[in-house]
Amino acid sequence: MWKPRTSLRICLAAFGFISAVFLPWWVTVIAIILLALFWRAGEVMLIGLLMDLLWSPLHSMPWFTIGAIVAVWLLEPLRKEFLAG
Amino acid sequence: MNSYRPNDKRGRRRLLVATVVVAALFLADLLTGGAIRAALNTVGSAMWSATRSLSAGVTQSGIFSTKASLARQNAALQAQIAQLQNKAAAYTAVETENQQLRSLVHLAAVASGTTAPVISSFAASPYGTFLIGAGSSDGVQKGTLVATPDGFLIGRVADVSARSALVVGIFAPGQRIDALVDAIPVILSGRGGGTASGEAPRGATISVGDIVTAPSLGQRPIGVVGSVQGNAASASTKLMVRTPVNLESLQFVYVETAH
Repeated sequence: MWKPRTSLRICLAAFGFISAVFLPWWVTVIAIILLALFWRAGEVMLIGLLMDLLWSPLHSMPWFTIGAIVAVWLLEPLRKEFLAG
Repeated sequence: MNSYRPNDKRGRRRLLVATVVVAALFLADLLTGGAIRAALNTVGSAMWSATRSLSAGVTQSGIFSTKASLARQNAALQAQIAQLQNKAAAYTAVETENQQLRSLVHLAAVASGTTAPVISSFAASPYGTFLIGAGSSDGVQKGTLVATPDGFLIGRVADVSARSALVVGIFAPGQRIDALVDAIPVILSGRGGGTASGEAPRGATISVGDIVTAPSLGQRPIGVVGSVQGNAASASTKLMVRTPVNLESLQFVYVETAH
């Protein structure tokens, strides 16, 4: 059985993937930030990639993918504080 | 015992692998000419269409508004009424679709093209793009213009696959377009959501509701003036331009084939 924290992460990640298709883009941004802030979540980068593959023209800059990668790595020091605390 | 350090290294390594995988997927899509995104667009548009059909059926069936009255009747009458409501909902949906398609017919007299359904949300895209259900198999090419039933241009095709195409809105964030408002030249900057902003010379006689046209697009209409801000003391007049139709309500668009 999953821990509550893991269940929350799975739900938030699923919500992020669904919001990339159906909901306003800023909802996906909130999901990405929350996931990146509280977990070392590689799925954040997949959500960012999904946004760019769905909505960005082929030869355009993949801003959402880049932003997701930056968010995950930039928030790493903050996450370490949460993990160590 | 502190197992934090090995776990931390393992976690960072996994994150690094995930980063590499994401970068590889993006490069693979780029090298295959958008094969991965074409497949994702097909899946996404199917999900979107299914959701829209389901919500239309629920809201138009009146099931919530008649639930109290259905509960009061016996089982046979309840089943009969539910069946009749479903038939009425299907008729209404088809009638609405027919009205929208009829409004597009006149555009064929102006420019050759094809009608295409909108198969994605306008709000979900951060780039001001949306998907239409017509692709290369329907004669759609990259760069062709997309118009509303009223003839207002709203976008240009950016990517094409066999059965769908990605359209970039004329007023997408970051887009700039030269426009004319009553022969007054204005440069509009897209803000997304079917709106754009611009500045006109001080004292320009521009009113709310004025039609905005684009010389680079054959003087075709692209929007209407939504608001005008400025007075005699300011150096310029600020304009907000919007598409005359609510993009979220658009079910069909007209795709003009390239000349």
